[in-house]
Amino acid sequence: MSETEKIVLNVQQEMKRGTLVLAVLTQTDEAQYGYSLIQALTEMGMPIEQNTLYPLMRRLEKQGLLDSIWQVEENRPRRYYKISELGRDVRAVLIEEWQTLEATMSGLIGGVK
Amino acid sequence: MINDYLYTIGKYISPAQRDEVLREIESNLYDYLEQNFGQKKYSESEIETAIRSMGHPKKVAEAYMEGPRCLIGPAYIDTYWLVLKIALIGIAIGLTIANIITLPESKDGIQLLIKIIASIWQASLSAVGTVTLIFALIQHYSPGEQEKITGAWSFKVIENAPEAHQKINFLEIILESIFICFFLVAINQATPALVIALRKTK
Repeated sequence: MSETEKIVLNVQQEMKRGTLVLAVLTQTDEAQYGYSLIQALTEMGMPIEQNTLYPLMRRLEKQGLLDSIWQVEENRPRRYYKISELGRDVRAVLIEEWQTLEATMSGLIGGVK
Repeated sequence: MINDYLYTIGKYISPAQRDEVLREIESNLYDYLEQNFGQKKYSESEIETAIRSMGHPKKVAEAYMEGPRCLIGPAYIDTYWLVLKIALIGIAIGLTIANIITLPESKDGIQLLIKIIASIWQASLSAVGTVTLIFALIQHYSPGEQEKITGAWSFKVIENAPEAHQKINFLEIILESIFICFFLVAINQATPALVIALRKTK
């Protein structure tokens, strides 16, 4: 891996990390379990490692942005996550933030030759 | 295999969260298996693939715990050793000088040597204890940082989960208790010595 690739990869990861919470909040209007959410995000062009997403979902649940419920399916338990009221409020603000950021970044990038 | 993997992860997770986190990881592993191989009895290699996809046990645990669990983490360990070295060298030099100065001339060399070694030993124990305690507190109250585990890892890191009734290792408990007692005694005994030593070195 060249030096450029390394740096790009690193920054890329940082960028992605910042968007993950919002990404998860957009895909949990329907209850999702961990693996189904990975698939949903991957289909939308945002592949994510299991070891990144699962702890994140748990964290969001602890913060009260997601509600969770254990359900027994096919004789084994599965934890389903769904966006909470608080989650919706936070999401609305985050979307606005994102749009502002998007406009700002477009402006900045537009100035680069 | 899955049990061993979960057990290994569990070792790095605080007891309060352990059961729930492990239950969740187990459920996620089975989701992965089901999605990739369908519903059936899974072979060793399929289970290995699922475990690989999840990651190194320690890394998985740290992702859940948001930071490594240790008394003094990688961020401080170098400073810790440095401070300890300085403290011990300081004690050794200070006490040697202090003993030579304060010892009456009539006593012989061997007695002097024994006295120096004994006082250095006592003061060192207390210094190690104090420094360790301070660094442990710093670690405890500082925001967590992530230890990097990158690239390929070997399945050797996965430990065998003991049978339920074996989980309490008595030898470990006894050893731990002895060391804790030893540590407490050392702190109790050595603190006055250190105070004296500090006064002497001043």
